[in-house]
Amino acid sequence: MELEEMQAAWSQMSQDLEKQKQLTDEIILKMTQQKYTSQWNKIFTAEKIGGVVCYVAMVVLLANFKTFDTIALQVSAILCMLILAVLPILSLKTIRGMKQVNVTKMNYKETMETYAKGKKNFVNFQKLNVGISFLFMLLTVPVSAKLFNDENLFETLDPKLGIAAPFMLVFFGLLVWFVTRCYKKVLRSSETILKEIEE
Amino acid sequence: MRKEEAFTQLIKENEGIIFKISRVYCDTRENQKDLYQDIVFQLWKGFDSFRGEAKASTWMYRVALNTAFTFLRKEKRKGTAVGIENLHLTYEPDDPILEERLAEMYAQIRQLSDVNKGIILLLLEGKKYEEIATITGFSRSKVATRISRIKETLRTQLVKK
Repeated sequence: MELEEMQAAWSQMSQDLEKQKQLTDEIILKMTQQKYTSQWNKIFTAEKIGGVVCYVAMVVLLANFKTFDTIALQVSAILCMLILAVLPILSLKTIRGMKQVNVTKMNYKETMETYAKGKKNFVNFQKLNVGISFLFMLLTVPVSAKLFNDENLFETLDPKLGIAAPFMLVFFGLLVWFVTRCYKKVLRSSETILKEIEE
Repeated sequence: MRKEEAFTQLIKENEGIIFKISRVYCDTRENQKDLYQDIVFQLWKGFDSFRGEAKASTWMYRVALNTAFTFLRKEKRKGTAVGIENLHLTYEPDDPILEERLAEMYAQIRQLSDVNKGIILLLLEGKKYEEIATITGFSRSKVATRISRIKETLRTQLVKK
């Protein structure tokens, strides 16, 4: 159907709809009271709680820093503290980016752009998050062994455990592959939106 | 006039706009109903910030289009509609030819990209290029270029058929 034919059909429909009023005050007011539970609000709250837990853990590490008496332990503890300090901030910033879409104030282009960019940042952050979390998991082992058991794993480490390293790397590789695969569609869709806007 | 009264009056005067946008963006009756309610809800949420700020219809189109775009991308909609049984949202023209043409038209529009979907909708609503530019945020020249591309796409769709 060409545009001119569409315009004729649309105009006919608009005229008919003008005559066919369906809404009452009651229905309209009922619609204003619906309760949408925003997924982003829920995630934002969970991330805030997570952030508090991270900072508490960081303070515990900082307060007990003297316990880490070798360079290897100190470096591990410092890296742990850095991750605990930076990750929550990055995470909250990314989620806030997603929440910035304001459908009542923005125009169509701004809405699409903000949405697509926010989503892209979110996916990129999730990928980074997997890598950092894995590193954090590895660092936590010697740090917590020293903190709670007064055991220096760097000295008592069984060389046979070295065999586990390649398996861990394979596991990490699989994890990154899986996360990338999961978000591929979302990322592609965001790219398409941004390309559409630029065209 | 009370806020509720002013709002219900605005919605009643423009209920056709919301209906048409819901039908363009959603193909099932259930989703159309959910989107319709979401648009009304978002309009209500932004009603205070709107008052006296811009032309009512410009603001309505803007909010409705934005809501339609984000509605389709909500990963999980929980507890969306408040069971409004009286909201039927039907339009069945007496003329079977018109009905067929409308179905064909909606199918063609749904094949367009999100940007073009919004632009063609405003064009069909009889909006001038300037107003389409104000609502969508694209420049007037971009709107004009896109409209000529849309016409081309529609012709291609026709040839493919």
